[in-house]
Amino acid sequence: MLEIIFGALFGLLSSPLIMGLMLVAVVCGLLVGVTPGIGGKLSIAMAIPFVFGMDMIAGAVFLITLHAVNGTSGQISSIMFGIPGDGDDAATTLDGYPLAKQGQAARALGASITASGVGGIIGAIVFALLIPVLKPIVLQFSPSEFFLIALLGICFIAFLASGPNIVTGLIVGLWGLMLSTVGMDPMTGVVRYAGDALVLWDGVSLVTAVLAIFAVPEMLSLGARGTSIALAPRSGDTLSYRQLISGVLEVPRHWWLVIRTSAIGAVVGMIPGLGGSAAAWLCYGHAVQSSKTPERFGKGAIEGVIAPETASNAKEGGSLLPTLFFGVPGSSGMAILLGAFIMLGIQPGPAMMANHLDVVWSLIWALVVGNLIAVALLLVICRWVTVLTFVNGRILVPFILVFISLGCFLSEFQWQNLVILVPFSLLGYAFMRAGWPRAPFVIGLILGGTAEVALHQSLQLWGLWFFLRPVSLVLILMIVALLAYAIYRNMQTKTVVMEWTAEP
Amino acid sequence: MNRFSSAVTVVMFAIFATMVAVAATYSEKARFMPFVIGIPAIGLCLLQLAMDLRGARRARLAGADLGSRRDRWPQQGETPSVGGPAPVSWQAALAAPSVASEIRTWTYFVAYIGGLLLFGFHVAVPILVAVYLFLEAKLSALTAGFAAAVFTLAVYLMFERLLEFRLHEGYLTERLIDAFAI
Repeated sequence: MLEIIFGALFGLLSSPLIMGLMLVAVVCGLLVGVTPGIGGKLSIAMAIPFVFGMDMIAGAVFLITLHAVNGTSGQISSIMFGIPGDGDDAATTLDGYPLAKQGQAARALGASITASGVGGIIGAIVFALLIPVLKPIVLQFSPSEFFLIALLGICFIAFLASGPNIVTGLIVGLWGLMLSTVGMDPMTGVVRYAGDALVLWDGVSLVTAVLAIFAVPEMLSLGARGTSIALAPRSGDTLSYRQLISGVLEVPRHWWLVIRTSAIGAVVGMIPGLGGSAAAWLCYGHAVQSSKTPERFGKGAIEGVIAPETASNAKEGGSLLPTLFFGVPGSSGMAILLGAFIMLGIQPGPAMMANHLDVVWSLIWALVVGNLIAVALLLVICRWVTVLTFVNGRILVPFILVFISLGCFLSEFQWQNLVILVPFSLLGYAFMRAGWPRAPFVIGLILGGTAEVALHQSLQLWGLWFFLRPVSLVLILMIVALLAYAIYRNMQTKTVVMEWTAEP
Repeated sequence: MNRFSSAVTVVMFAIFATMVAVAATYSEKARFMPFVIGIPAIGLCLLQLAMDLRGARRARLAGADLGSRRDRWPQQGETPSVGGPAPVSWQAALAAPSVASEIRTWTYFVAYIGGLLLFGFHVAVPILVAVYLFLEAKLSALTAGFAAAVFTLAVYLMFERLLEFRLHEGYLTERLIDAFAI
């Protein structure tokens, strides 16, 4: 075991190619993270054409580093302008922006950058510690459990991503599952929904579908809106290094809070669909509750910056667990990452624990090393990086569309995928405009093939009574409880809406 | 739920219904999974439509001032605030795009994909970048042209020279090259 753990680290550090790729990923991740409109999901989508044909570990390390580092620079706009780049950074705004208005922007940035990096490292450590605990459990799972885990994953993400209305999330998840049936049936060899289109006989390209549902709608929306983040009034113009260092030192000063919020973040990350926003808000609330002076929060408390930033980056380590070992992505960003992993030849599932622990450990070390490099680099360059927040969204759109089309074409070297990209993008845009969640689609599409094979195997092994196995029963209970709670929450929301509309 | 959301539900209903109908023509084993997914999905679409209709009727009954007060109600997917000022995402902070600008952006995208298929990456990429930067980002013609040329060169060097990928050359481009025997 120790040989695998340190062999992976040695392999990472001794390979100039991998270290070079990590450095490129850190720089790109930081720049993309701070640029308005390009989140973690888009950056992975844009990176797909570059990793195509790359060695499995090198490509995966590049992508995971890019994804992990993205969030580290995302908080700059939250603190400097009071406008979070995405949901993960919203909690940081509450105390980061007041600090900037008090002329302590550099202190807040120093604390948030360091907290984010430390959180990422602790998240990776938590994941690493859980591997030996989880290994025997994961290896016990049979086809029936994998079918039910696929259903649970879709229900979970639909529930968490669709707010009070789970139905829309379930429809999108089932659409992903339905799309996974396109192509040759694994049991009979019958070609379904593909007709004479040979390109569809192996199924819909995962990369194309993911780009269409996530990346294209985001870019077209940014193009249609066409403004930069820095329309907001800017506070705390000066970024002195002395203040920056004092912010860095706030992290060891609040070490116990950092450890607690990192652990909470990592655990939240393990629950599919909860994501960084939930982790950040949960830990912000925890920091408020555990503080002796809660009245300082919202007015510029440094703990209010440290807690959410630590948690939102720690969740990356946690969300690797369901992604790699169950094939259920921990977040929508992880869903795209999972698609890219599959393209690189990494097949997520329990076999990862048995046969590919070296890959798992390489990814864990990539999180640690990537975060260390990112923190060091960002502390030096953060005063210049803020300039990127002034970039007009419309300048970025054509370049990113080119990368999206390259990713779509290069994933299978089929021009037909470019044709498929258009109607799927239209559907993705419609989901986005209607406020429907899009993450369940990716989970459905990724897990569809596995779920179908698992269902057929379960029926052959145990007949219709496959769900009476003990672990299966637990999973079914979880699904039923989740749906029951979702319906209850939906009804509660409706009642509140009715009372609210009936107010005089 | 707004009308647009209901329209999306109708589209999804039509997609699922068509796929289930097509699956009915397959053998018993091949249609099993599409049925397991498609039939509940059709049910969920109908449920969603019923909920939308019910919500619309309730809103009508509850009074006309709902629209003016809706902005106080947390919207779908909005993060609850723990304390202090309500967080705003930068997307929400900026103006929502107009339908005209959405159509214009979509036209660029569809034209670009059409251009890729017909003329390939070498032609479509510089045209998209130059035209978009000039007309939409309001850069000068010289800057837009220069950026397009540099970017196309970078894509060519990166993907075709360094990584040795063969990018799609476009059907018309190929025929033109053949016709003129270039």
